[in-house]
Amino acid sequence: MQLVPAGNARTYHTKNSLDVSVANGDDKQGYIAVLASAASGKMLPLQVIYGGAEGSLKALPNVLCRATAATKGFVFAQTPTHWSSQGSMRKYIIRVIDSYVKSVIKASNGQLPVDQKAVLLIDCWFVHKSEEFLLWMKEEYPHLILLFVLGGTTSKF
Amino acid sequence: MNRPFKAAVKATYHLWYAQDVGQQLQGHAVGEVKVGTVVGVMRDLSVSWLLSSWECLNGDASIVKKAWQITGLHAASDRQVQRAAGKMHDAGKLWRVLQGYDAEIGDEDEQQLFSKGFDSEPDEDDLVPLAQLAARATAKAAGASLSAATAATSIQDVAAQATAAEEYL
Repeated sequence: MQLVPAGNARTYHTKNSLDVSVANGDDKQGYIAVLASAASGKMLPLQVIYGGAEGSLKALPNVLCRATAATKGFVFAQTPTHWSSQGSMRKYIIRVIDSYVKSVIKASNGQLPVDQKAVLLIDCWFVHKSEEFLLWMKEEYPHLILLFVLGGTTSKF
Repeated sequence: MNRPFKAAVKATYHLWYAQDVGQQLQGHAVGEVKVGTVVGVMRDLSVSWLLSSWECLNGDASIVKKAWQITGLHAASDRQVQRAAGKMHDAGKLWRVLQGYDAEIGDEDEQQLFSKGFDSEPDEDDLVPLAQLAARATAKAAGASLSAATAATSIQDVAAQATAAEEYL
């Protein structure tokens, strides 16, 4: 096993070796946890995205683990790069954001109108800014007002 | 908010690792300890780490509220800030002013600030409230007493403070 970081795809192992183990260099599993919170101080359920072919469930954790998290409202998705895609973002808006807004309206016992407007402050990820996503939001959720975090300042929040 | 969440995930991971090693040390020699870190195991465990971290943040609303305060949006529902925003055409400057926004400005202050009501076209007097907001923001940012910034009551003094605020911002 190589312990000396060699950079790129090269190691100090014998040339033409077929199988070279590298410490912390193999068996990696990247995933994205999409975080959101309400101004009331409540954390909204996470969307966890794992890398794998979209539509397949092979890269996701096992059913038992997912079921435990799903009881808290967690949503799981799978995209080729483990980054948010159009499909995963739509799923997130439907399952997390819209569900939360509806729950707040319902909890108000009629004090808030059914079409109560809400502000959704999101960062400048290219999917969020895409015309396709913005048009979809406008058509499906006209009551959600989209605002963007100033570019490069997401880490400040 | 990302930072405390990532820190919580790391902490839960370290806790799991330490517990796993600790349990194995009770029945095995140090050299025999082996932690299962293959992808399948870690992927399943990651869900419980995320869940624990999420519950940790959910249990402390102050962290989330603080994050929202930094965005400046908490002030958007405030009448005087809405009016100030209507008179400020530089969005970047307004955002910086909101960073120092003090939600505890009282109703009495507001009545004094906006006794004239809101006009679409700002005039010299309308700009005073914004100048005072900016002065307060500057005073707060500089760590000075808030009362020192509000002590000035004449337009000339407020204008001077606004000039200082412009330079600071």
